[in-house]
Amino acid sequence: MNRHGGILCPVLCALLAAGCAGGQRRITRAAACVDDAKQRRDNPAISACAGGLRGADLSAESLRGYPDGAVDSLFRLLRSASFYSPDDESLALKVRTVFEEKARRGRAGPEDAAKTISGLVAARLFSEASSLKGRFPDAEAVDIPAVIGAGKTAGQWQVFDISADGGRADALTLPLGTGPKVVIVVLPGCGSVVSAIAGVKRSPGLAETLRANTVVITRSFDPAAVRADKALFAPIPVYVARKSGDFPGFDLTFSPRFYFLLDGKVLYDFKGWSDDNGEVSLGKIRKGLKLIGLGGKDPA
Amino acid sequence: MKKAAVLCLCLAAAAAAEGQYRGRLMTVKDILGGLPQKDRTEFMSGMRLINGRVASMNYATLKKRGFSGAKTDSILKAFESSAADAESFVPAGGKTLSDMREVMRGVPPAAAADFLDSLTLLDGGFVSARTALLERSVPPSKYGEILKVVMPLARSGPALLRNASCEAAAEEDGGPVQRGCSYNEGYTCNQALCR
Repeated sequence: MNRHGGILCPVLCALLAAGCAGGQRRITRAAACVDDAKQRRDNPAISACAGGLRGADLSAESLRGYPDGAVDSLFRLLRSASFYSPDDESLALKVRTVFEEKARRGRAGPEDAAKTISGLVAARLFSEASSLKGRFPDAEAVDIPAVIGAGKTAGQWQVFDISADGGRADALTLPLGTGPKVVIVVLPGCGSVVSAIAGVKRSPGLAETLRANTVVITRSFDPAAVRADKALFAPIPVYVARKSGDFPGFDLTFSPRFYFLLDGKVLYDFKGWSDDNGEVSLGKIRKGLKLIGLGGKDPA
Repeated sequence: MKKAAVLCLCLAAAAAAEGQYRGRLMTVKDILGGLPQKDRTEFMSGMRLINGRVASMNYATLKKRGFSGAKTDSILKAFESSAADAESFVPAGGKTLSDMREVMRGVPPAAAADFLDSLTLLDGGFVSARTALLERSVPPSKYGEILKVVMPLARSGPALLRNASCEAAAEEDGGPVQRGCSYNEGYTCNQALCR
C-alpha cells in the first residue's frame, strides 16, 4: 500500500461510516416526525417528514449498511408518507426499494409485500405492482386488471371505469365541466355510504334527480369493491379517480362526501351522513341541487 | 368484595345510552383519561362483550382510584348500548359472550395498551381501533380472534375496513351527528356499526 492509500483508506472508511450514521440519524428523526404528525392527525405533515431523508440514504450501499431496525423503521415511515400522499409515484417507488432490501435480508413478510403493492397501485404504477404481486403471491392485494387504459398524463376529472368482470380498466375523462353535476366521493365498503344511498332511495324525487346528474368517485382502485359499489349505486355510475390531483379542490379521503358543481365549479359540498335517519343530510342534498339549478323536482 | 364491584348491564334491559353520549365518538383513552395506563388496561380487561358490545364491566379499578360515584357512573354510562342498538346488530357467528382478559391473554402489554386505548365507541359498539401495532405483535390467528370478538362482522352488509377509521361530528347548531369513514393508516373500522 502506498503512502496516499494508507491515508485515504481510513479516511474513506470513516466517511462511509459517518454517512451511514448520518443516514440512520435522519431515519430516526423522520420516524419521530411521522409519529408526531400521526398523533396530531396532520396528514400533509406525515409526507413532508420523509423529505428530511437524502437520496443517498436510500442508495443500495446505504441500505445494506443499516441495521435491521433502521430498515424496518425506514419502511414504516416511507409507507406512511406514501399512504397519505398516494399520488406520489416517487414515494411508492422508495417504499419498494426498502421493501427489496427487507426481502434481500429475508425479513419481508406477505403483509409488507401487500403494503408495498397497495402503495404502487395507489400511485397507479400498475406494472410495478403486478410484477411484485407475481413474486409474492401470498400477499393480500387487489386484483389488477389485465388491460388498463393509459388515459391522459394530466388534466381534470380523469377516471378509470372498471369492467364488471374486473378484467379491464378503461381510462376516460368525465364531462364535469359543463352543466349541473353531483359528485359523491366514497370509500368502498363504508357503512355510512350504505345508509346514505338507502336514504336517497327512500326519497323518490331526489333519487330521480340524482340518477341523471350524478357520478360516484372513489380513490381506491379495488375492482371487487368497485363491483359491490356499482351494485349499490346502480344506475348511478361508479368510477375510480386516476389520481387525487385530477380532482382539484376535492377531498377524496372522506366518505361519503357530496359535491354540487355548476360548469365545473363547486358551489356547495358537505360530508358525512346524519344519524337522524338521514333527514338533515337529505335536506343538504336538496339545498345543493337547488344551488346548481336542479331543485324543485322533489315533492318532499 | 370484588363480586360486589361487578356491574352487570344486561343488554336487553340496558338503559338507552341517551343524552350526552348518544351519537358521540369516544376513544377509551378519552373516557378513561383520568386513569394511569396500567389501570386503563385493567379496566378494559375486566369487560365482557356480547357481539362486540359491552355486557358487563368491573369497576373495582375506578373505586381503587377513589373516583366518585357520579364520575364512575358517567364512565360506565359511556360504554352502554341501548337495547335497540344491540338488537339491530346481527352478527355472522351468532351471539357470543367473550371475556376481554381471555381474549387479550398473551398480547404484549405495549400492543394491548395501544389497541385498547384506541378502541373507539359509538353508541356502545366498538366502531374502530388502531390495529397496526397489535397486528405486528401477535400471530395472524390471534389477531383475527381479537378483532372477531371486539369488532364482530355483521351477518350481511359491510365488513371490516382496513386503513380506515369511523368519524362522527356533531353539527355546529346542535343538530344530528354526521357519520362517515376516513382513510387512516393502521386503523380498522367496523362498517357494520359505523353507519
